[in-house]
Amino acid sequence: MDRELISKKDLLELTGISYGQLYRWKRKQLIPEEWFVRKSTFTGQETFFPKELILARIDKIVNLKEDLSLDELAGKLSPLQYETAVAHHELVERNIVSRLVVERFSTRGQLEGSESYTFEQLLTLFAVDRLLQDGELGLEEAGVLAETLREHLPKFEGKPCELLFARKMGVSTFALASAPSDVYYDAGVKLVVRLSMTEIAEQLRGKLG
Amino acid sequence: MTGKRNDLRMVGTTSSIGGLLGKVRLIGECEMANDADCTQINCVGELDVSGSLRVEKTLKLTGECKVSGALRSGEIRGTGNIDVQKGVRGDALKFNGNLETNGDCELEKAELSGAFRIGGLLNAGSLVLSMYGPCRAQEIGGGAIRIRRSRFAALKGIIGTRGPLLEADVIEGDVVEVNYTEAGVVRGNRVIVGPGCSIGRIEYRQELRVDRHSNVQERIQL
Repeated sequence: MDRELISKKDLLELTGISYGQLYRWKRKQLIPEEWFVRKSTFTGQETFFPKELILARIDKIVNLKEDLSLDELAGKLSPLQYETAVAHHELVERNIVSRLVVERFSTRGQLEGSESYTFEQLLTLFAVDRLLQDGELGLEEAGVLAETLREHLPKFEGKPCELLFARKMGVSTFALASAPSDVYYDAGVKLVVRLSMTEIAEQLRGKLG
Repeated sequence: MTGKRNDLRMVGTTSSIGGLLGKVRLIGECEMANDADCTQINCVGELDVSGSLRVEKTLKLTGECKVSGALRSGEIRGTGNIDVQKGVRGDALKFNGNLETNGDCELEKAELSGAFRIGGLLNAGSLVLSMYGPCRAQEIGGGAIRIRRSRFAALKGIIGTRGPLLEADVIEGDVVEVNYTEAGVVRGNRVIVGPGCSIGRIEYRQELRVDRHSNVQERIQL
């Protein structure tokens, strides 16, 4: 998947921030390391960023830094962790995750409205929903995916990770790997989906507002 | 991590398993066999950590410090040699001597006199470097960057030897002042290039001054 990239130079020009600010935010881990993409251009090495993500992030930092210290901000922005609690009816009403997925993968308490969803649970639902909607996987596989995420996602403790979904001879398998990582399969394997959980989390947060 | 932090005081050739520690005072040679997390360290001699080292407040060092993982500290000061495999992160650094790491080095405020070799990015809010020996970083970035030769090294330069140089692929900052530097690209709002530099390309916004003893191939105002 090729995302649109923006060079550091253009980014600074577009947003009006300085090198010092950009580097400070990087130090404070407001901007994740893996967004810094190094590429060689004809003028030598340049750093690029995924355009949509970085612009949204900088916008957020600029807006929030008036009220919060940078350290407080860092807690707010950590990619996979987010303080939130969403109730069941809200989830369906706001169409964050499709009804089918919600009903299939929620606990009884959540369906009855006595328990709310944490961000991590939402992330699981959201990722499953997204892949189902893309038509990449069947309902049966969705169950396995939900189980995988539920069990292993917390182990990353909010560090960036990727979801890998591969098929070989009709048998499907899921893996979670810390990002960035290189993964190689044998020849018969078809990698169906490679999804950055950080990106998914970012999208989910966009939806949650 | 929570738990009781015990203070540690060791003299001579000693070893510790590391772990959660309070104030640590070391004289002599000390090996830590594991990750260590301390409130502060005062070390005279040699400290060798097989793992990562985290110091809440100050790491004060006279001598040598080797860390096979990452080093994270509030403040780092002292004299000697710091060798970290995976990267250095801290608030303030005031150090005389040699700093080596294969990873990145991220500091709010850095004052270094000596030499360094940084495999990744040297990132500092303000960086003041006084070179006594060869310095090499892949990338340097930050707010205010000031790179000079130490007076002593400048004297050595007069005698005829080449003297210390800084080598970096990219140097970026709001205010960049470089002397005796070889760099591929220098970018900044204000760029001041002193003597002894050889720079491939300079991209600046407001101001550029170049010493006539320096060699700049391309200058671009943005």
